[in-house]
Amino acid sequence: MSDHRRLARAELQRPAIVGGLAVALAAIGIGAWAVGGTAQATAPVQPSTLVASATAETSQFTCGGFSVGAGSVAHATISMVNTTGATVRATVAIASDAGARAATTIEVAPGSTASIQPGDMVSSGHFAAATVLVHGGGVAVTERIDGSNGVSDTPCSSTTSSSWYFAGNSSAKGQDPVVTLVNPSSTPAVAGMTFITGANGAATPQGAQGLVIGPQSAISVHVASLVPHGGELATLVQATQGSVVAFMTQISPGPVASAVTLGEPSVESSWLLPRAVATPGASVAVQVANPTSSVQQVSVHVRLVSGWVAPWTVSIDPFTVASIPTAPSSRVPAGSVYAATVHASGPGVVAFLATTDTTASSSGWGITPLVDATAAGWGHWVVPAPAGVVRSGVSLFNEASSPVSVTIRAVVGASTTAAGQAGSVTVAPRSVTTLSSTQLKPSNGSTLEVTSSGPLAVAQSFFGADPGVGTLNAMPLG
Amino acid sequence: MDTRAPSVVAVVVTTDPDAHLEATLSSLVAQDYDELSILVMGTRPELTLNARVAAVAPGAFVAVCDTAGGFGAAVNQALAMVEGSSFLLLCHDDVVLEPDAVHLLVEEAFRSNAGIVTPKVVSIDDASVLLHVGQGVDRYGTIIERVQPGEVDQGQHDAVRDVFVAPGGVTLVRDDLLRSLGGYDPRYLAMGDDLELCWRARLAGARIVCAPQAVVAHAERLAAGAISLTVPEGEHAAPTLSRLRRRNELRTIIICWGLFQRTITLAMLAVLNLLEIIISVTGGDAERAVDIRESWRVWFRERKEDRAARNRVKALRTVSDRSIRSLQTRGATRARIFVATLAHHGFDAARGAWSPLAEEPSTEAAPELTASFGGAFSEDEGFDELDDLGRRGRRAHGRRRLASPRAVLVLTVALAIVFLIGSRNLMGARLPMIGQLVPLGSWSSVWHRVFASWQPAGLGNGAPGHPGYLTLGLVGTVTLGQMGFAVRLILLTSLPLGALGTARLIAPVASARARLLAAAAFFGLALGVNSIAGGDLGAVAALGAMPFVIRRVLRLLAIPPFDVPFDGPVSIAARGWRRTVAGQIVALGLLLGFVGALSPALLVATALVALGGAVGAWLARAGNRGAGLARVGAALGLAVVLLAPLTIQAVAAGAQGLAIFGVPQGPWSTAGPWGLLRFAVGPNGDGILTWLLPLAAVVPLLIARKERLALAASVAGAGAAALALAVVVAHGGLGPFAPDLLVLLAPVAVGVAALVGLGLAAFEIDLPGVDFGWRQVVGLLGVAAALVGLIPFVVDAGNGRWHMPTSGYGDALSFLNAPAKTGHRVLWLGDPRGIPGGSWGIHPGLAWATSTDGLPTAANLFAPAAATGGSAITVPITTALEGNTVHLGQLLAPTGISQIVVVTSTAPTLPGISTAESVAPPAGLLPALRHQLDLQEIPGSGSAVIFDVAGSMPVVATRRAPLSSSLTPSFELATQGWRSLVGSNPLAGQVRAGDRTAFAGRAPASDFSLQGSTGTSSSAFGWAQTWPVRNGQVSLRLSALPVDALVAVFTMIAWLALVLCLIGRHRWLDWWWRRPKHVPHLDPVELEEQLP
Repeated sequence: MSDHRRLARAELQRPAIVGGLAVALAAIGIGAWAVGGTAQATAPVQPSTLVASATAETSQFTCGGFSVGAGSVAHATISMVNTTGATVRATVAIASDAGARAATTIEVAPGSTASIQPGDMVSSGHFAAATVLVHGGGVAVTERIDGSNGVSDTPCSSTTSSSWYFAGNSSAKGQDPVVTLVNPSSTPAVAGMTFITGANGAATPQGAQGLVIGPQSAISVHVASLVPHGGELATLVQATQGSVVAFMTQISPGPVASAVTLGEPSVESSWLLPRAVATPGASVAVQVANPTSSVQQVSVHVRLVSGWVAPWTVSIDPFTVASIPTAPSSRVPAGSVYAATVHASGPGVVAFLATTDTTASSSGWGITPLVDATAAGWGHWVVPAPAGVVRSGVSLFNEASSPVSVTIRAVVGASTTAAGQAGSVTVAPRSVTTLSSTQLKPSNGSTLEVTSSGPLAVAQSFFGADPGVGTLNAMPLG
Repeated sequence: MDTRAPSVVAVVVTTDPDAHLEATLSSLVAQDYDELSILVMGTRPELTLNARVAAVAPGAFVAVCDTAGGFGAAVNQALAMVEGSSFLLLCHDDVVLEPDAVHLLVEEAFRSNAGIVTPKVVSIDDASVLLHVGQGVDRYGTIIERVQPGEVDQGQHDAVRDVFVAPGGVTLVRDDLLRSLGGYDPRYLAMGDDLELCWRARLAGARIVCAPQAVVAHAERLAAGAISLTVPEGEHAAPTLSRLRRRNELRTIIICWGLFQRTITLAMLAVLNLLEIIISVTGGDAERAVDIRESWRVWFRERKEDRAARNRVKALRTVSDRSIRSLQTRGATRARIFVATLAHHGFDAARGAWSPLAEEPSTEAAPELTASFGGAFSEDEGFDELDDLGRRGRRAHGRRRLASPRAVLVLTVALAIVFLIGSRNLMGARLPMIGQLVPLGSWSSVWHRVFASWQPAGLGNGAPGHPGYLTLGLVGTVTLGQMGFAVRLILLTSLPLGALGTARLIAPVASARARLLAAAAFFGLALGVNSIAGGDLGAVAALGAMPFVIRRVLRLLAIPPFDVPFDGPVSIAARGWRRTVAGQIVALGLLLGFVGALSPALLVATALVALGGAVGAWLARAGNRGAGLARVGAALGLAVVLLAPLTIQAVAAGAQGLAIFGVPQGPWSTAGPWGLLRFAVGPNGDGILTWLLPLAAVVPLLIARKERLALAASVAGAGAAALALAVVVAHGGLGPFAPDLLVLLAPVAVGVAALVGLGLAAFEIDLPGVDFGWRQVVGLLGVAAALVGLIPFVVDAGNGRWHMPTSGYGDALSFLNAPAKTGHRVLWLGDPRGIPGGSWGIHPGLAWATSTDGLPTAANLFAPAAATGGSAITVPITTALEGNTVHLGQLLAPTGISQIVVVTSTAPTLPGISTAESVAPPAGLLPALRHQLDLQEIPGSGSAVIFDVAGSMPVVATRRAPLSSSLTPSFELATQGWRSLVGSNPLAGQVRAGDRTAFAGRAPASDFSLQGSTGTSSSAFGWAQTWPVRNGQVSLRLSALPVDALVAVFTMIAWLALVLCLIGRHRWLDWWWRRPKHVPHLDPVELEEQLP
């Protein structure tokens, strides 16, 4: 074929050439579209009380908000619950706000709980903190404060954050909320605090700014001296350098009672309360703080075992706190167990459950953070055994629209067994299932591992808390 | 009183006489000068000479030279025969004198008191055409004609004037002057003997004038090649005229200049000759280079004779060199002519490949793959401007506007100026440490990396040296060891080379104007300047080479217009072998090897070009796709062999070996498909105007015809294939196989630029025969879009550094070089684009690298295919990312990492001073690192987040306690108690008192031994080594066999052998090695002098 004819044929193929190129470009575009966007996913947010998986090389918890030394008002016990089948070594280092330090290493047998009392290791200082370095995973660390009126439990933090939020506290006359900032890292941190008292707006006292927390150190701040007379107190901790862990200890006057709680690292537009008990003689309220510059409509939906009740809806101005009493109320019978959800219309709020003693002879104060969206989406939980007190029940709250199958096993030594009659349950959509101590027998005193087929929020309650019944949210297990 | 006119003896020197001899003699006989005698000197035996002379000039004397030589030797012999004459008229045997010529010459000699008089010389074929009216000369001995070639005699030179040279042919010389000068230098066979004689005459104080009233016609048989030169003594063949001219020029200036002028002139001439050799060799004009080489060689050979000649000149000198200089033309005439011809007629004309006075080349050049600058741009389409010779008639104006060589040259220069302006701040200023712009150190250290048996990158590596060091070493050799200049050379010349290559890619089917537009489009696409801004040497080099790669691939695929048959069987390395199939394959393989050493992804891009080009050719029903693909495959295979050090690494690394092509970038910080099509892969190229060039590239697919359409289809196919893979890679779709994105885009850029040029070519060539319609509109829109699409390039040029950051991590993190960090490593984490030098991937967007004792150096420029022992770093990093450790520092301790640098942009961002492209690491990285208990974040480090690692072990350390080989870094006791070896050298030192164990964290462990240990070594942490020691001196030695060096030597030999095969004996080096062919030498037969 001559060159001319061959090239003439090429011209005849012009549609094929143009079409081929068009198809190629279209395929490229469609392929890119099908693969999806290339925007980077945000950093994975992990629950602040996450228990590392059993295969982890090391894990670490930070506890704080307890007191040491003479006249301690919040004597603490730190418990390490080993959910694995092997002995795990843990190193506990205590640092007080006076700079005293001590450390010890203990071994936690499989399926057992080991405890230490920081007050026995460090005597100088007022408030203190502890870092628990676990040489492995599968160990949940909690702390308990003993008061004359009862105990207060909180999970220790497995993470650090540059921001922490609290609500449900009070700096009213006689009340002494203490914020303990702990820096478990090797990098110095600088933090400041903002306080919101009721509807009075935010206060940023100079004494709470530019607080330097050295590496592996802790400081404590008495809030009442900075913002007195705050009946409904919310606190914002913001680290401008480094990251910290923040605890709030609410100390009430005589007989002295203390309640400790770990803060929440972020604001959320949705919160879950898996379990609350309308304790007779106590006032139970959901305190919602709006630390944003937007007015937010907040609705609180309470789910009794029997069904949903009419919601509470409030409008919360920027930098104000609202208290929504759920019990006693006409909607929640005394002594009933219930769950609740909190939804905000805006960028997010922070919500805590505050339980106060209404009897004249006591000033007990119990505070429990609600479960945020990250933790509520978990499917594997650890429910630590409440040492020295009696577990009154466990609630499984499924807010989703599809049922969730749940398996509950008790950690016994190096193995796990089905947790009594409640070994396997199904939680209906948008409902709460409560497991009584009877149903959990003979595993009621054991640490439980809860595995669900979908998102679930889990909490337990126990007797002996101040005031009345205490609540401890389950800890997500990695 | 004697009133006779002065006697004149006409000495006619004849060599192989033809009919002109009779004409010469007849004209002499016809002279109106009574006192004229004729002596005919035959330089070679000629039996019929007497009879022929006697037939025309019965009174003439005839003699035959008894020695071999040229014109001068014959005159010298005649001088010995002649006595009593006043003047000698030295004549060639192919001249015709006007009857009054001798009369007028003698008159002028007396009137001007001249020692030498030369006539007006005209062509013997056309008496109206001037040949000479005397000649000038420059300081280098280059003859300068006073008339232009072909100049018509209109009396414009009819004034008597002094000249420097009386050109040979007919020259009247005063007899006493010639005798005092000692006659001619007999070593001059021809071409310059007149210059040498005249120069000496000037030195002796004689005047040389041109008497234009005396007219002589000259056939110039010697210049026309009608006479063969005598073979000089000691040589095997007669030299060419050009060689003879070169030789005589050099000889003349050596003899005639005094010491000062001679020294200066020779020094400058050496430089000019060197440049001329480079240009000649580059243009394939080896003959010229041989001539120059020979001139200097003869000078060296005859230096004693020259010294004697200088002494003779010194004896007769009455005029200073300064006076002589004032008579000469200033400047270097040959260089000036070269530049002028280059400007008017292009490189091929300038180097003498074709004559601008000869027939003008056709519009469509033959698809011969010759390498020349002129082939890219020069084309004799001049119609609107006269050249300096005034030989161009004006043609009709119209659509060929801006197509003349001068216009094209002006636009090319303008384009080059824009590029130079845009690069002005990169030429002299210090380059920041970004991309591959790490400090290279000395030239010798780069070569050391080529042959080294151990590479410190990562945790150390026993892999052969990366061939990229070989390429850099070779470039550094060219730059005389200036490695900084070598880097700039690659960085700033690759784009112009690529533009040149793009122009040549479409040269067979496009006009100079279209080629220029293609070159401009190549510059205008943001890929090139973005590659520069990112400091990606490999990408820049690959982009510069890509047009040449594409052309060779299309040649192997036999896609029109590159489908001319290959040359037949030619023995390897012989002339023409490069144009055979094997030669073409080797040429492509060598190109891929040389450039691919810097950027191995070029091989992937080449494969895509072949596949895409074949598909395009298939759509166009053109090309030899099956066999062509096999040929390209062979070239790729050859390149793989030429990259043996890298190939061995990659094969040994298994799947990890894919990392040699590139490390996956973070899809979140990489442009999408349309951004890639606009080459928005850096700080340049963002804006709506950047769409115009890709849009203009569609035009030829719509309106081109014939070869232009076939070529357009092929380059479009190649570009589409490369773009498709680039999009997939940018999305992280191929996992660890992630060839350098900038290199993958190179075929796309070249394709777009070539298509833009083809669009204009189609508009010029294919549309004139088509009725006016949408095609013309599309064509015009395409050209307009292409021109407007160049605006961003011009605007970006204002930055002066193509938005390359002004400072890199080398400036911001200089504290990492503190002495305290000696013996430790720095771990770099982040997107591979942000890590200076080479790196290895962990996840898309997360790469790692280490540097020893501070900032990265040349050792970190290229990452070996696999990081030996790299899991000691990647596993802890992954563990931390998964939240399964809070003691990353402890896990990394044995690796000697004392700092972790997380980069978040290609360079530090300094507000108001320097900005850099953001290349964010995975979102979970920084939180995970901040969660670690033994990492301390150092605040205020700009775009890099730095963590100090607590408890880091020195790379070489000792301690008291032994280390069990079963221990892992998880055990605190395993990483505690280590102290750096005492001593300034990290590989040798004094063991501290009491220490019993030595540790070396240098992989591969098996390659090291510890001199001074008290026992055998044990494995440590699975990749390092420990030895038992006691107090004393120890030193760490590398005990590996020099296999790597042997591989490097093999690679170098392979490169060199193939280069020599390609250039063969007749190009490049031939100018040095070529020997003249042996020809039979005929001894002159002396004939008895005969008198009529």
